[in-house]
Amino acid sequence: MLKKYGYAGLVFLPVMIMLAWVATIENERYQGREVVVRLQGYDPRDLLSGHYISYRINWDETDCAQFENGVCPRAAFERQGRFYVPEDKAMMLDKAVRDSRNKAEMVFSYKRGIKPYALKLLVNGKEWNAAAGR
Amino acid sequence: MFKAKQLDKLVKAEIISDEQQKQILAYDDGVGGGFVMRALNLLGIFTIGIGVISLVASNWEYLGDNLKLIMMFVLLSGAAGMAVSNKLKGQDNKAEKWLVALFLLVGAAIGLVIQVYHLSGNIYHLPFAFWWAATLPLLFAAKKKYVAWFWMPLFLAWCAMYAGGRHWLEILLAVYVTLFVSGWALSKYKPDFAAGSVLQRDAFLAFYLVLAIYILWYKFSHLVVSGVILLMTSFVYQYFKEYRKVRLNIKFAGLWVFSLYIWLGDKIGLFGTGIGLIISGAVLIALVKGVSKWSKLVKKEEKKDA
Repeated sequence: MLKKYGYAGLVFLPVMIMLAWVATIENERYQGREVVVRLQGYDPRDLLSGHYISYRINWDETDCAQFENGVCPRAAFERQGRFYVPEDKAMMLDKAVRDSRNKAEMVFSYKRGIKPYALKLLVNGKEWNAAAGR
Repeated sequence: MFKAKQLDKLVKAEIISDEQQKQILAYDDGVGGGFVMRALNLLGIFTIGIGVISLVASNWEYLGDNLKLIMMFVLLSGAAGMAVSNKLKGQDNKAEKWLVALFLLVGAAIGLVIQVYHLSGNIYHLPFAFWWAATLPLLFAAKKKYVAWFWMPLFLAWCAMYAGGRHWLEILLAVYVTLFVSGWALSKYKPDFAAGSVLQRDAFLAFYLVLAIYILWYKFSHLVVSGVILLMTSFVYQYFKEYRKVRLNIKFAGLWVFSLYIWLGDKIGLFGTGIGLIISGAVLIALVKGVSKWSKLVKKEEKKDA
């Protein structure tokens, strides 16, 4: 009997690990509050690109007043990131983000001491899907 | 499992009798499937895994994030449940195939979570590390080699991705030698752990490939490296004298011949012109023939010794 339970335990362990991972991300996202940072698009020369937008955070044009003591926590955010979108919209959105005439922003879930999570991509104040005409 | 033609040869060589040949073929029929069927079964599972990935990917726009995650956990739990259920019914083969399906689904699930939560992907080898770590328990659950055939290449590829810095080739060679020795020790002292022999074989193959890259990378030191490999070949030949390990010798000899070919071609400028390429092709064929002749001689020697 113990052998059977041991087998089941081993087989279900990867499922449990995945569940724990997703639960941790959800919990961390829930704890954070929404902050908006300005983006600048860039060409990552990534062979795998095509279904995501690569971005860098533009701290110079970000409103730091929304953070504690009015200081932007630059070190807490990764210098660059990816925002996944449907493949057929990626190229158009990528151009829109890189176009300096547009105002591209990312809404993050942020709490001090916890990794920030990207929630929404905004182009000229609208969510990416509205900007892409979906 | 056994090819009739090979058995005919063994009968002609009077290694086995007609009666033994019939018994082996009857046993083979009883076992069912054989290598081709097993390979096709594995291919079927792999295709299903890829199908699930593409199904999720192509319907990306129409599915909400929560639905995608729910689907993911249903598939993961379903595969794990099927493996346990088949195991309890004593259908070990089916259980092992579900373990492979679970392994592939975990990989797809990691990709899905990365996309749903827009994780950065800046440390590109991290998802692979998570994949092999999360599916490590499956190696201990598996009694056959199916899972190991997928897990080991993933792990070895991750090692290659992880190794960075100035001496990455040397580090990789050392890592793969260590893994080869670990695999050898596992298969010797813990034969129940099916992953051991797969690790031994795959780590050796990975070492072999990296060594080939090493030779091509450092063109200037071809002669030195060729010498080292020749020395290694001699040691390996001395070590693996048995008839059944003769292919290992051929691999090493092939590597040495290949490095010699590159060195020669580079030295006399064979790769620069059309005629040079034709000559180099002919030289390569001659060298390959030389290796196969050499290996036959080795085989003959082995037979004489036996």
